[in-house]
Amino acid sequence: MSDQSIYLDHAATTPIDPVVAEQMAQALHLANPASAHSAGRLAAERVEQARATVAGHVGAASEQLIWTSGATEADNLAILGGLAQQAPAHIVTARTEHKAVLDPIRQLERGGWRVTWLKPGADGVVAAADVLAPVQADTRLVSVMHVNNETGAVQDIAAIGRQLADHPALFHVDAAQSLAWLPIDINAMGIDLLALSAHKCHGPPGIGALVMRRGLVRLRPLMHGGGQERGLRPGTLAPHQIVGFAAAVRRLQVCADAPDRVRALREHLWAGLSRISGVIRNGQPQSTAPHILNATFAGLNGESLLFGLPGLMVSQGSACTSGGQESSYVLRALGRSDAEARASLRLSLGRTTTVAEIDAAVAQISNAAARLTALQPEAA
Amino acid sequence: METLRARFETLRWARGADEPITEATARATTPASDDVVEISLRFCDGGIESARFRAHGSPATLCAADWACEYAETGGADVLTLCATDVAEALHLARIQMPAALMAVDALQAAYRRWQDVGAQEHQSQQTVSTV
Ligand SMILES: Cc1ncc(COP(=O)(O)O)c(C=O)c1O
Repeated sequence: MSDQSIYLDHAATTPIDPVVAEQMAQALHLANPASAHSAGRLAAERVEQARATVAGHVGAASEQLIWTSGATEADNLAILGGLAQQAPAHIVTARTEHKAVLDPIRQLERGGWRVTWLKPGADGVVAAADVLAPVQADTRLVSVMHVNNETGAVQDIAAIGRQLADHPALFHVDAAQSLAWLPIDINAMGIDLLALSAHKCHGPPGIGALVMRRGLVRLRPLMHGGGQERGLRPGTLAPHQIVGFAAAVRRLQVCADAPDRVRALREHLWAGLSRISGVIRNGQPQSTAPHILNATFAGLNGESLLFGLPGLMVSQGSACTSGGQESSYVLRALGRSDAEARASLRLSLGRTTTVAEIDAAVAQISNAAARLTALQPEAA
Repeated sequence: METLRARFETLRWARGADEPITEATARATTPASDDVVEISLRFCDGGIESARFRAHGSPATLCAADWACEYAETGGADVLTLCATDVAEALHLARIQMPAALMAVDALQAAYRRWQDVGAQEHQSQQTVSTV
């Protein structure tokens, strides 16, 4: 990142908090936590402190959490590991889930599972009643993300969890995008399997966790090896990553005012962008997480708009960089056309984002949009 | 090596708000997308005095239109022998960006032919001449 660049891509990854980096650097010297000697025991102690911190942040006890390489692995372990011992039956999920959820479910579908793919409303939210409606006696999994990574849409997880409480289906929630911004309580929300990631909350990439409902024993590991993490996720633990994740979670607690501040900044951003002709907001402010603003610049070419913003680190809805690639399936599920989905930007803020950065971003986007508009031929 | 990014930053041959459309103007479109290129030529002493574009579309489309105008205005070459591959090579376009080069060449050559066809007659209309 150059000095002039403005980073508004925190939904992709967040810059590491210096306090976190400092604690990780020290933890790099820790031994293998599985070793029986004193150095190993010291490492294990640090890992267990971290486990208590991260688990506690989502209302769980240490023994409910296992470390993974990130939310992708946690999602895969929850879905594939959670259903491994069962004959194909029925799954309920939404079309707007992250690929880390969609792809393992598609794999199960190829293996004979029936899947109900829910479509969200225009605001990106799937109503709790719509999630419950297709649930049948043989539904084994309901998978609904807490916060969508493209639109920021927040699902009413507690309402879904409450109504699934008496149903044997596993309730899996990908909370990669919500950990930094919204309170999560695995018990109060009735969640069976919760996927977390450190690098979306100013921690390091490459570490995440799967948090399980107390007493859940149905999981099958995806890998086999040294028996770490109660055999559910074998492989030598990375104490520096784990310590980094816990440090990032503690920083969330210290920076507890961040969600309100960032939400206000996000509305300031929208106030600026809404003056651009043809702009449409994807999502409602009251039902989106504080950090994401997704907007369609109708009538403009999204690739050219991004090209005209070299100093602004933002993304199109999906990893859609050059013509011919798929446009955002999330925005299309919300009813946007292919051209509109391509003409959309996801701007995602972080707790270090400043008003000056937002003002500069608004100026840059407004100028780039005005330039493209001026280049267009008059209507034929 | 010319990069799209460098050309995109300037797009010097874009037709400004104060530059009127000329009689030798043509548009090209593509079924691959909603991109469109419009090129307007102005002549003096039997040669091209100026070439200007308007376009909607990807960076490749805008840059190909810009490049074609530069070629027409400064190259002194015969625009009717220009090929889309010349544009694509000059701008290092990928295969998938070929429609951009085709549109630019089509719009330029169609505008040129309109001037030839119309000859000295006055003709005010403009038209979309090709779909690549
Ligand atoms: C909603 C969601 N789920 C899962 C992931 C994947 O997380 P990780 O990079 O930790 O594997 C991401 C991030 O890309 C995400 O936004």
